[in-house]
Amino acid sequence: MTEISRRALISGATATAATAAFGAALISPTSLIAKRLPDDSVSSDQNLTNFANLSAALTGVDSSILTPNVDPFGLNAEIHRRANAANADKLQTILSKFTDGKTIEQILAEEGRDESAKFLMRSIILAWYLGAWYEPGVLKTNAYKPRTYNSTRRYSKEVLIPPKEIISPDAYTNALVWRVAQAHPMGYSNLQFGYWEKDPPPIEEFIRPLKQDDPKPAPATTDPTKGVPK
Amino acid sequence: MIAFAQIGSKSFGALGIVMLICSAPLIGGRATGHELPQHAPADTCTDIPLKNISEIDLGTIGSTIDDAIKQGKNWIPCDANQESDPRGDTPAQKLQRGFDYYSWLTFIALNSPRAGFLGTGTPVWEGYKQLPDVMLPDGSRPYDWSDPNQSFVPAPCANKKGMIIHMEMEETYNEPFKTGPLFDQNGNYAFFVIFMNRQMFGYIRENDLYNREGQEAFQAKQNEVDFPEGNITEGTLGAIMIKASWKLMKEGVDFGANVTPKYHIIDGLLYRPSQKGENACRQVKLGLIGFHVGHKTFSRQQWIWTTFEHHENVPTQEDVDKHTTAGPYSFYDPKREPSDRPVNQVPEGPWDPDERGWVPFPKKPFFTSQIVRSGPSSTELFKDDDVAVLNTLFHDWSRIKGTVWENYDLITTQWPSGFPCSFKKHPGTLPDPTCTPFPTFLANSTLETFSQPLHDGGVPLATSSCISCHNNATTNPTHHDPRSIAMRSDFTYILEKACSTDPKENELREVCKHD
Repeated sequence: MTEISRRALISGATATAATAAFGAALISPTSLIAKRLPDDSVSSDQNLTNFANLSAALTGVDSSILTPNVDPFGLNAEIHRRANAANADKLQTILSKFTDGKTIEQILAEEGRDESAKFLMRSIILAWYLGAWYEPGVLKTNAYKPRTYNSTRRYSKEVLIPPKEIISPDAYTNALVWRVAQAHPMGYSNLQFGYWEKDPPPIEEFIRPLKQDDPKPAPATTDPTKGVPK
Repeated sequence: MIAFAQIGSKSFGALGIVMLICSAPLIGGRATGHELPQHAPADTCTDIPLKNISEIDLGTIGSTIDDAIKQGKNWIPCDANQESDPRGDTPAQKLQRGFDYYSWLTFIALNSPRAGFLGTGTPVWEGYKQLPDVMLPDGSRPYDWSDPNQSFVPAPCANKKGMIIHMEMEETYNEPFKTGPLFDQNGNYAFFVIFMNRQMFGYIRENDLYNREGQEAFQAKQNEVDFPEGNITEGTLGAIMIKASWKLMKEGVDFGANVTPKYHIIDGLLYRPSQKGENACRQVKLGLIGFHVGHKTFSRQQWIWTTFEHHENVPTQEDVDKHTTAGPYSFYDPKREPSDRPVNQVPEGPWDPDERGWVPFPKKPFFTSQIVRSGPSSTELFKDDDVAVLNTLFHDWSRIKGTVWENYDLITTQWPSGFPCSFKKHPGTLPDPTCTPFPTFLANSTLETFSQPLHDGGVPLATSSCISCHNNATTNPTHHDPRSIAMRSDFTYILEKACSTDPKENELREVCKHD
């Protein structure tokens, strides 16, 4: 599983592709926002469950976060559709191997020189983290482009990888990059008022399921109209 | 529903408040105007389980209600139940039915009198405390719940009967985020009022949260605002707040001889301190057009948000597109050409009724709204139109059929869907204190007219979502201690309306100025 710390992410030490692509997502025009794709029959419940589990392994975020029981955004299905449209055969191969119990590393090793699995997985990771869809082929092309820039120019427009589209406004605001950074997108935050003067909740609460409280919490006070001490 | 929100510190008209202070002092500190209905201080609630919405037994519901009434029990649901034998496709769909069922029971219970059913007396909620009776201009302690008098009755309204419509408060006629006023086809403003139940009022009063100093002291003791919750196991009701919208009723059309009323109609007192004589507190008839309920419960710490509307308010955008409008509508004229006035627009300012020189039923209205309900239909949201199923079921109930209450439709219910997120106390410390509201957006066309969802969704934090908006609600501490900052107020904007006991603190808030 991928482990990305808040510090690492903020300091820009995560994958170059993610950083570059993230920048591209931020400067993308509204026209990049995708229309909802039509249903496709490949997205069976089992396929989607397998895809969520694969996504959890790729992103390091628990599948219950990616596909909550009540899922108003349906990002798992949205990303699955795009991955399937990009390379259905390869996605099926990856999912088959993964459901057979193989790790991501083993699948990549078995796929060998055919890098289409690698870049398809990278597209899936970027989709979850950035809420934008990057075509695997474009990622591959860029990966092998000679680097003619130095680190001070890494946010330059010339070197950013353009996404094909922003999946949706919901995909953007729910992108995992905000979770692993224990932060929020610009202009949209559900964190409580005054959060900026406190440490954020622990990273586990962003990427793992919340623990249930004790089944019968003790009454905070005998008088329900009284204040409750913290 | 952005609801209850944005009432404004920011939002009281300066002129109105100056006049309010000059002409409408509290009467000897003990107002004797509109007497509130007496009622037992019932903390109870009633659980009415749900098998599934295809098998709702209205007879059982009726007898459970009758038993509760006989026992003097409150029969508002304690919390939302889920179907014990669910039929449905998705988890959201199955759960939604339980919430919508809860909403209908809540609507009926709140609009019934304390010891009776719909239509046999003053609705329970009309005896709740109105916001201006809790957050007093001088920051003083409001009267106890058991006191039949209102804490704040403007002098012109003394000795008159009716719900006071405080037109000096901008939030009475301007919608949340100051998005604008709503005008009916007679050119009259729609009015908005906020109430809270005994549990909510008691928490505010006992913790001195009715003024800014009290809020500051509360915070200094490391307390955090945590209103009582409804709990099925413990049989407790919890905090409930209500925002209702009204329109002026016209004699001979909406009420009077030979008129079959379509609305729940009450006596109202249109309080306008800038007016003289009788017009400073004009006796009017008000018809209920919209009804929001927020209810904090054990399983939904983000509260459950219910919204109802009168079905002659507006058509849907789909009705308009398909030319299937079936008026008359209060806020839409089917005969008007779209080119004449685009839908869901507000007039140019000023919006203050005094500045506009508005009088009830103006001969030449300066504006009439042309409003449609936008956003996805409930069929699109939930696949099956279970909301319509429930509306039909309850409308056809023999106890409701033929009464004004069959004209009120549930729009739907918004609830926090994350589990176990929504059960967790003190959600402010969570990564997402809203616990994923479902449906993501919800608006009442009379209360969040101008921030309704779009057909294919909405804009987070701009399109109306009850929970997402109220997640940002805070207290309103004084500036005595520069370290004091506002704190989370448990999904209600009511605490932001508190005034200070210090006149200097109130200088910037017209509604709070006092002698």
